[in-house]
Order: sequence, then C-alpha cells, then structure tokens
Amino acid sequence: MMKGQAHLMEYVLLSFFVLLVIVMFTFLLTGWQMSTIGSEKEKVKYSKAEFLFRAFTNSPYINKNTYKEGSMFEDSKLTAITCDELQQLYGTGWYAEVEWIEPVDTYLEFKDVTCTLDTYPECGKWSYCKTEGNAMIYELPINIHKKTTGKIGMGMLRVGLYES
Amino acid sequence: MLNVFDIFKIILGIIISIFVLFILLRFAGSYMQIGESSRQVSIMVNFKKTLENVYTTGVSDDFEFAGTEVITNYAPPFLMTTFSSSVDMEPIPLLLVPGKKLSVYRNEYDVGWWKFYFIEALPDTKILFVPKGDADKTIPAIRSIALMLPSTENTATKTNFYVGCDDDATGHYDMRERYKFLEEKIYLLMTKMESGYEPALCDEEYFKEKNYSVITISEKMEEVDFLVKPVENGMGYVYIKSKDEYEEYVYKNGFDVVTLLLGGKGTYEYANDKFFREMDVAISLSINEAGILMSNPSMNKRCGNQLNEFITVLSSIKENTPKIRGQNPKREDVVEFNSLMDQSAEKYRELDSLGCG
Repeated sequence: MMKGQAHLMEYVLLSFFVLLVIVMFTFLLTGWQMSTIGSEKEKVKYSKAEFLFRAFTNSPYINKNTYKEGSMFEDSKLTAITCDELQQLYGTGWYAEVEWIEPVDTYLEFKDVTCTLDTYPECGKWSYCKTEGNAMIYELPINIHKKTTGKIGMGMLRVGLYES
Repeated sequence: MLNVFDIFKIILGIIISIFVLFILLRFAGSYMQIGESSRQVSIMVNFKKTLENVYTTGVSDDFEFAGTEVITNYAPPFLMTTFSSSVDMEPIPLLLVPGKKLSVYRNEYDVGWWKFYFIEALPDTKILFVPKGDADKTIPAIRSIALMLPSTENTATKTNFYVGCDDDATGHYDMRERYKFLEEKIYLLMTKMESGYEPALCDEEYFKEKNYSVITISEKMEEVDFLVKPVENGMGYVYIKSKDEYEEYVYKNGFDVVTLLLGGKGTYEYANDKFFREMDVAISLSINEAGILMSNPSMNKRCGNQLNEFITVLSSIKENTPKIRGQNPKREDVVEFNSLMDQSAEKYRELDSLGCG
C-alpha cells in the first residue's frame, strides 16, 4: 500500500515539474515578446522626438522663404510665431528654444533678453512652450538671418520632447 | 492484468497530455499572432518614419510593404491596418492610395509668402487628361492639377501623364513623368489645340481595367466618371459619377482636384481642413511679422507702405476664409478668395524685391 502511494506521488511530482517547466518557458517567451514591444515603443518615442526636431529645422514657418539650401531661421518669424501656433502645427508635449551663440551687429549686450513683439530686435533668444518636466533633448547649431540688417549669425536650436 | 495503479497512470497521463497539448497549441497560436502583428507594427513604424523623413527633408523615396498589404484603407488622418488598429498620421498632411509599393513624394502649394507642404504616397499611377473645348481654360487646369501630383523622376514607382485617347488604346507608350509632361507635352498640346485639334473622349471602362485615372476637362457637362469644369480665376467644379448621379464639388485650385481624385470626399474635406488650419497660422504669423518690421524705423522707411498693404490683403483673406470652408462654397466667394491670394503673392513679390520679404 505504502509503495503504491509512493509511486503515485512520484508520478504526480513528475507531472508537476513538467508543467512547471512549460509554464516557465511560456513566461520566458512572453517576457521576451514584451521587451521587444517595449523597445519598439522606445523607438517610436525617439522617432517622434527626431521628427519634431527635423520638422523645426526645416519648417517653412520659421525659415527664410527664399532660402533653398538647408535651413536658415529668420529672427522676425521666430519672434512673430507663438507657442499656440506651433502646437497647432506639431501637436503638444514638446518645447523649443533658439538663441544666438554668435550674435551679429551690436546685440551682444541683449543676448539674454527673450525676443517678444516689444523687445525685438534688441534681444537674443526665443522660447516656445517650455514647462517643468523631464525631456528628451536634441540640439543643433543653425543659421539665423537678422531681417532688420540682413546679416547672418550662428545660433543654437534646442528641441525637447517631454517624457509623459 | 492491469492493476489500479496502472489505470491511474494511464488516466493521469491522458489528462496531462491533453492539458499540455491544449496549452501549447493555444500559446503557439497566440504567439504566432503576436509575432505577425509585431512584424506589421514594425513595417508601419518604418513606413511612418519614411513619410516623416520625406516630409522634413523633401527628398522623395520608395517604400515596399515586404509582400504584405498592411494598409487596408485610408480614412484621413487614420491609416487602417490589417492588425486591427489604426495609425494616426497627424501632423503630416497625407494623400495616400494603398498599394504594395509606394512612391513617397513631398509636394507643395506655393503662394510665395507661404508653402503648404503635403505628402503623396502613391502606387504606380497613370493619369490621362482629356481636354475638351477652349485651350485657354483647359490647359491651365491641366497644369494646375499635374503640378499637385508627384514628380517621380527619383523613385522607382512612377506617376505618368498623357493626354487624350486618339492613339491605339494600348499605345500610350509616350507617357511622361511630370517634369517632361509640363515642359514638353503641354506646349505641343496647346499648339495642336489652337489649330483646331480636340482629343477624343476615352473608353473609360477599358482604361479603368488598365488602372488609368481619366480626368476629363470641359466647360460643358460630359458623360464621364470624373469631370473637371473650369470656370474662372483658377476655380471651378468637379463632378464625380456615383451610380447614376453626379456629386458636385467646388475646387479653388489643382490641390482640391487631386484630393478628390486620390481619395474622394473624405480626403477632400480632410485636406481642405488641414490646408485652412495651416493657412490661418501662416496668415497670423505673416501679419505679426509685418507688424514687427513696421515698428522698426529702418524697415518702415524702406517698405512701410508695402508692409501695410500686405497686412491689409492678408486680413481680407482671413475674413474671406470662413465663407469658402466646406464642400459647396459660393462661386463668387471662391473667385474673390483666389483673387486675394493672387494679390497677396504679388504684394509679397514687391516686398521681396525691396529686401523685406
């Protein structure tokens, strides 16, 4: 009788371990699949940030109209456009900043003044839709055309995609 | 003779085998489904990336869906896919015809002071224009429509153009891509039409089978599937045959005709909405910018009057816009809108020549 019970237990235990192995294998495969989906999600996020950045760099709304080769921002357009308008074009969840890094003319003393309708052209930086929060940031040196004098200087574009 | 333990072993073995087999089959089924879906998701991610690259750089590209038809339908701005979820294409204005191989091209509607960029993703496309009547009206209409279709010189998937159906039906070897069509064919056609030639109407059923899109352009009504009726100042009507009736749409430029040709009413409404939303932003921006420049003494001295006139025209366009949004605006409102757009382009050219553009 005892021997029979022991045999039974042996059998039940064996079955239990076989099932355990199958369940673990299933979990392993599902975990791997989930991590693939996770990395795909991450790729989509990077891709969105990259798109925003390139969309800004080549936007016909802030670039000089007649300039065909690459991008050249126009300081008057940068001053005239608002965060609301840019959000209508590119959606929400991002911010952008532009600043002179090599100001032209005599505007060195105004490089820390934010450009608005009142301060233009005696100003040196622009900021759109910036709020608190962590963001994935892209930076690129760009050309800025000073409309009032026709001179061109070097600037920096910074686009951040907020991590939601 | 089987004892109780042997019977127990057999029953337990059968139960466990069935259970394991069931679990494995279910899991294998789901796993294959997940694998296929993730492959399709990955294709769509790459497709969207291609669209974004073309939209931001302006460099056209080809896209192949690796043997699968992932896109089932396009209901702007959503791409319906075979993995039962839709992909939102905002903020890119997209005109798309589903197919396995697509050419992706960034086109633009240029008004001088503003460019409306949009993407065209099309499979191999053959466009057949059939102009009837006065060449002075039909040829500009052909030109404005062809300009809003892709120039596929740099892609493997092509959009070709031809005029009329006089040749042998299979003999349209002479089809041209956009650049050559606009630079050569149009002039030849104009000369021929001025000396009395008029292309014959096409056997539309035959050309439909051959995947041609036939666009008949005539000031009179014709019994055709897709008729463009130019009226004045770049505007007119498009008639699309639906069963035995014609649906009428107003067009203000070639872009409207192309949206109707490629996607019908849904795409026309979506594209118009997108166009006007972006134009609102462009107008506000240009008015603000002109105001800023006027407040600068040196700019005001150089081009104050022209800036003021430019602001006036743009403000008039902004006032006029609500009247022409929607499917059937009044003819006179569209004519006025187009005339204001022409004036704004002219004013901008003046500003540009003074170095204030």
